[in-house]
Amino acid sequence: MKLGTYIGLVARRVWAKKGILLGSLLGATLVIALLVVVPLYESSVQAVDLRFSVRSAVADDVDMVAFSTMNDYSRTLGTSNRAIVNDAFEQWLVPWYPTIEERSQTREYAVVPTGEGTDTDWFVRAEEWREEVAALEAEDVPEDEWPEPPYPQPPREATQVRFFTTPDLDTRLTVVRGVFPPPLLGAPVPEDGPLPITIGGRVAASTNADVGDRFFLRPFSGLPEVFEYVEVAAIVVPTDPDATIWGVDDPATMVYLDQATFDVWMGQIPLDPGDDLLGQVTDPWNRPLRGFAAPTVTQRWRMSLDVATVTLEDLDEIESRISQFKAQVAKEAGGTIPTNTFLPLLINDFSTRSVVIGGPILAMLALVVGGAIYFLVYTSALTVEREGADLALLKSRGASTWQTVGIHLGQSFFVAAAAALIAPFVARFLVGVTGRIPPLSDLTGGEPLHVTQVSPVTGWLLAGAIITFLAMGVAIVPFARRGVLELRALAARPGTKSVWQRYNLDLFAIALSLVVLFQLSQRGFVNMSGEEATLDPLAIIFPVLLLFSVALILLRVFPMLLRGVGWAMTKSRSLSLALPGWHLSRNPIPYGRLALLVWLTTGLGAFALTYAATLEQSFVDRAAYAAGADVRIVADEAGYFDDPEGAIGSPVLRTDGAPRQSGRRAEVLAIEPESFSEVVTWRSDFGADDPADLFPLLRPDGIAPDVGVELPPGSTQLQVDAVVVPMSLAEEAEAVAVESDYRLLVKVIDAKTRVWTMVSDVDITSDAWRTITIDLTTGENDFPTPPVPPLSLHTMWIERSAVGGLAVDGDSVLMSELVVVTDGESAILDLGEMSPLNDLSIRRNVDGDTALEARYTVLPEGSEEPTEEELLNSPLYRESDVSMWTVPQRSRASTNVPELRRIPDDIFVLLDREAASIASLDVGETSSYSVGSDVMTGTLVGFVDAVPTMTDRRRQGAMVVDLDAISAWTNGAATWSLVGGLSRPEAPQEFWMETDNVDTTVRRITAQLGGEPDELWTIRGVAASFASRPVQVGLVAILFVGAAVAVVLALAGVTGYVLLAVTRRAKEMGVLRALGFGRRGVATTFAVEQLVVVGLGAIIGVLGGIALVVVMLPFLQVGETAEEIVPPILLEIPVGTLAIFSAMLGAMLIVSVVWATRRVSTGKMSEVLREVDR
Amino acid sequence: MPLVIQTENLIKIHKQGNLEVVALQGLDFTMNEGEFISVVGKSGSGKSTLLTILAGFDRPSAGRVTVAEQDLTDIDSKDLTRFYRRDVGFVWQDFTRNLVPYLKARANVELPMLLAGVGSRKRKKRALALLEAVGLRNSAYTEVQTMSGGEQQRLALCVALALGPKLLLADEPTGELDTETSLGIYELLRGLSHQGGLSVLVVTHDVALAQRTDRIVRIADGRIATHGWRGQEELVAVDQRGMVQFSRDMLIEAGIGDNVRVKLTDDGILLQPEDRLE
Repeated sequence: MKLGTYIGLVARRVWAKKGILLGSLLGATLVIALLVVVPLYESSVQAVDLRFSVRSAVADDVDMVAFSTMNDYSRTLGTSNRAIVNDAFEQWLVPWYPTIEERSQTREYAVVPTGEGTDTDWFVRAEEWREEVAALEAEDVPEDEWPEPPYPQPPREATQVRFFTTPDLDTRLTVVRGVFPPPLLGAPVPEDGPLPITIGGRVAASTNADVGDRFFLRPFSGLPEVFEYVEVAAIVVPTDPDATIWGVDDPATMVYLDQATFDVWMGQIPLDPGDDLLGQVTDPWNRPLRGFAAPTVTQRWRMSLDVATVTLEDLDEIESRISQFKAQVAKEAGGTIPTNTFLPLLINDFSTRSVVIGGPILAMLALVVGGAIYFLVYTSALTVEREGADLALLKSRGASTWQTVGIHLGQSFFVAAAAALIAPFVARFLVGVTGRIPPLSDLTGGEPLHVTQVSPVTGWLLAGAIITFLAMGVAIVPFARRGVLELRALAARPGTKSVWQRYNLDLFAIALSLVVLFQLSQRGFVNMSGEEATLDPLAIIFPVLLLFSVALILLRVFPMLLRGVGWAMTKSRSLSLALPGWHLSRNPIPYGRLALLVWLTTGLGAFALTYAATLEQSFVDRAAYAAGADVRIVADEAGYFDDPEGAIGSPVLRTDGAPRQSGRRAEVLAIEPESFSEVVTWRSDFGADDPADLFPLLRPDGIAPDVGVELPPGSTQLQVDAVVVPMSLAEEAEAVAVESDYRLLVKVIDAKTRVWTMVSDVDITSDAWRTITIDLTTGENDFPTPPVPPLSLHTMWIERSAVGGLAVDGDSVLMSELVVVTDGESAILDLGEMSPLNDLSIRRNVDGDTALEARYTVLPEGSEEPTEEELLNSPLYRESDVSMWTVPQRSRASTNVPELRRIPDDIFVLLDREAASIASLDVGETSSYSVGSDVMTGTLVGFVDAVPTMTDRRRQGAMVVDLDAISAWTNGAATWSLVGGLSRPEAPQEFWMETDNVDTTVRRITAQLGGEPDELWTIRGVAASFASRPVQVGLVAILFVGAAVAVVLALAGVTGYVLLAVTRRAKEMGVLRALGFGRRGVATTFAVEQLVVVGLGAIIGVLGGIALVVVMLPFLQVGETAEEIVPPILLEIPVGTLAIFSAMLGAMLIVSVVWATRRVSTGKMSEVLREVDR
Repeated sequence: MPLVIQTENLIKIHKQGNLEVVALQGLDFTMNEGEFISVVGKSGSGKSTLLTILAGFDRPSAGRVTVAEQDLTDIDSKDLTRFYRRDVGFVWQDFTRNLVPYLKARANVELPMLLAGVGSRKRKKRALALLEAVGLRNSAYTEVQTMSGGEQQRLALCVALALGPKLLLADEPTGELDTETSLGIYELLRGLSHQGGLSVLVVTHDVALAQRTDRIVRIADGRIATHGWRGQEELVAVDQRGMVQFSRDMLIEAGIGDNVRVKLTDDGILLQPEDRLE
């Protein structure tokens, strides 16, 4: 009864103070709701992430696949395997994998036409063979001397097929022609005709077979006698061509047997010898065995994951069951049935991601909850202070300390209980509504986020209720033991120094923050032990601790600031400024609590918004870094594409290399500096503020490097007269074979840096001078467009025309001046820049009749000397001087081709600082560089810290060079190019584009490609493909919610404070009114005072929130895979959003202050003074 | 007759910033059981300070105070709570502060009994009896805020008397009431004292009302003022900063104005009016 009376008393007290307790209820509800939001939101966003991850995963990755490849398949083996897999499947994998598909497939069989009516009629041949064998037998010729039977041999380009079966084959196929053959369950008898089979459409087309047609099938590789005579019973198409049962195979290219027939016929089937003509000899047509002996069959099962059934709660069990399934199959099949799924890896990645990305969510919520708890303690303290007189009355009426505490705690319990009832709904609403706001709305389609209920929610709810109860209850502690007079004084006099300062808790908190900061900087944000990622708990509490610590430092400094501002205000002539100024400068300490709340709340909002903006920007940066440009296409020789309309393109060659040829290989991009600067996505921390300041360093004089001897514009042909210095007639007479024809080859680099190999039209022979021509308008390469002028001649060499054998053979070739033909006119080309290399010897100014002399130096015995006239008329005669090229003896195995080449200029290099430092290189220094497989001389011209797309973790460092410059090095050298196909020049395989219209550009560039590129990158595409997007955007969403919560708390807190201040200082205002100060004047005076405090607090809060993000940045540099984020996250201050946030907050605070002061500003004097007493 | 109040050399010094103000200067005072006494004095004379010390709300800086046989000089909080419940009832001047606004009249009266653990039936009976006694029986279930000032102050008396204290202390209980109502309250207090044997000490600055009590105690400058200063020997406190305070009356009687002539003699310090020649 007494308890009931107490409860009644508390209830009446609560009801009587409902107005002021509303603030506490708001705070308590928020604290509990936010605590509940932690698991609820995390699970809900993770559920979205999980669905996103699992659904976007390739089925091949998440499905369970088991297979067994048998070299000697039999029905027994197949059935046993089936039982093992099915049993384990049913025991462990249902219900996540509701379906299982089995298929069996053989290796390739060749289709051998019977050849009836042609020369290769296998039946006729068989018959002839039988007759021959019969004759030999009659002549008692030993059996081992009989000829081999004529096994059906496949034609040169035989159609290859595989047998395919699955237990429900008839439902998988639709018959186009013929009838699906019934199962052949019994063993065949000798009289059985051909095996009826079903064939896919493409098999029918390529073999020209129709229903009723017959042919042989024999293993593509294997014993020739294992063949079967088959008849097409039906031609089919797949019922569902996209069904997973087909895997990567094209159903049109297979032949089918139903499962039962397959099991019988895949294996040897003994028959009665019957009328076997030849006893034990294997007659291809009358064998004692039928079926496909010792077939290689792969039996494969696919258990398809139903992604909808994968839920957060089941993850552990799914993983466990998968491993049990695998273990059981492995054990029972003795390791012959490997099983595989990537789902556990996916789950592991997801878990790591959840931990890594969940960290900031928890930190954020800790921050919000911390702020809300402070708000709660703050409002409770305000409440208790307001209740001072009430408590004094209770005490004077005989209430003990415990009774006083008990009544307050009872009141706190009421509020906490009410909050605990409301909070789950608020939490659900908060979580749900995040689905409606960007950026999460992109994933949910604007629908509320589906709230995934998880069991920890109840615990968090309880914890929240206890925390709020204690937070509110703790406010009574400092007051409970106070005397009646002190309590009465409380309501009228604000406190002085804060408890933090009085006990130096602020210094303690600051010290603790520094320790935590140091610890975190040592340990990092995420702990990785094995594959398990766990979040460092310090990382979660750190932001809260830091914000509080900074706030506490400010608590010491803020009064001084206020004093200064107040003093300045007292200089104003306006009384509405001077009066509050006087008040502020006289006693600034009591404003500390209000300021602290404003800091925490605005700090929270600014932190949330800045963090969200930083995270979003990082996403964009990461996508831009991965894509490199608006559009990047990777395909064979993509760098040679033309710029699509409306876009700027730049070719890029990606390879590896190293300064000083060290073993530490860096990633190398060879670029065209000017266009690359325009297309590359850039950030100022990559090495220069503007790429246009950096990459042109690769061309110090501003022009493209010389890559060879430049040919005049409009050049169409190169011409030269040449002859191989022949053997003497005497040598020739004794030689076995004379083969000395050569051809001339050149490497020409066109304007697109394409390296063309061009070959002379006719061979250089030893019997006569010939004019040989090289057509410059085409080449041996398969570039889609002809050479683009201007052209540069980079290399010339000669090689033997004959395929195989020596490339050059110590011969000499005489050549006249090289003439370049331009629009019908000819000019001699100066090859002075070119040097002979690799033992090529070139003698200039050799007599033109050197070949003639060589021919007639030694004559065969009995031959007559040629007459002068004969010599002059000889096709070997030439009057003018020529050059003589003498090549060493060298085979095609030698890669160094004797060549005439222009030695390329030194290259210029940009290197990352670390690589430069390891190689001890500084700007301006020249060193050797390896690029790809070539070694060249280069000069370091600058540093680059990061280049988009350079993400190859196998490489250490980044190196950028000029594409033109290295083309001359990497592709200029001669190759024995025309033997066994043209050696492929190293071509830029990437094309980077800058465009305003990505879609159009992608369309145009793929049209140019005429097919699918190897890779296509766009910033938007990369951003969308981040697997972590749901959790990340969820985080951004919750940050916005956090900012909203901050606004609510700030409003409620400020309003509560101002209301209390109004009550306390109503007398002062009454006096001002009595002295003739107008209503508006009084309200303005009061409002100005509060707004100065709130305004200064808000400015500090916003700066503090931003600073907190800066401090946290190093801990955010860990990506969703627990690896460092590239490029690093940079602070992004959302100036616009912060301005809107501050303006909204400011406007709302002004309204709340004005609203709170209305009681003293609007009423009559008498009402004001009465208000004081209430 | 046994004493209900006894103070010996009671000193109370309030601190106001750096200044120490002596509110009570060695006050000696006694009160017999069943007496109805009024304490009068000018504003700032120390009468309210005396009352709060007697009620146990505040503690003396020095001296002794015993109320209802309870030594309040060095009392712990547990005994103080018991003292509030058993020995003393208090009525503030501001009648709105005597009552819990969210409780009805009877509940207010019952509140001290509830806190003291009195059973509900007994509480109700006692509350109604008290309300009957002050003529508020019909207002037992009325909201406090709707009651008049006089009614609220009578109700406050009921609350103060709820646990049957030995002593009732009232700090200007009629300060905000009209004369007629004030007289009614004083009659009520007089009845409680004379018929109920309750000791009642009322602080007032209204001499007319004080006349209605059995004894008037005048306080001036923190001590009982029964006659002039001349010829009296007084012990005056010297504060930590060496400052000594004299009562204005004493200074006037000594003819000391704004300045005072100070002389150190073999007997001590001699204070003389400024214009008095050696």
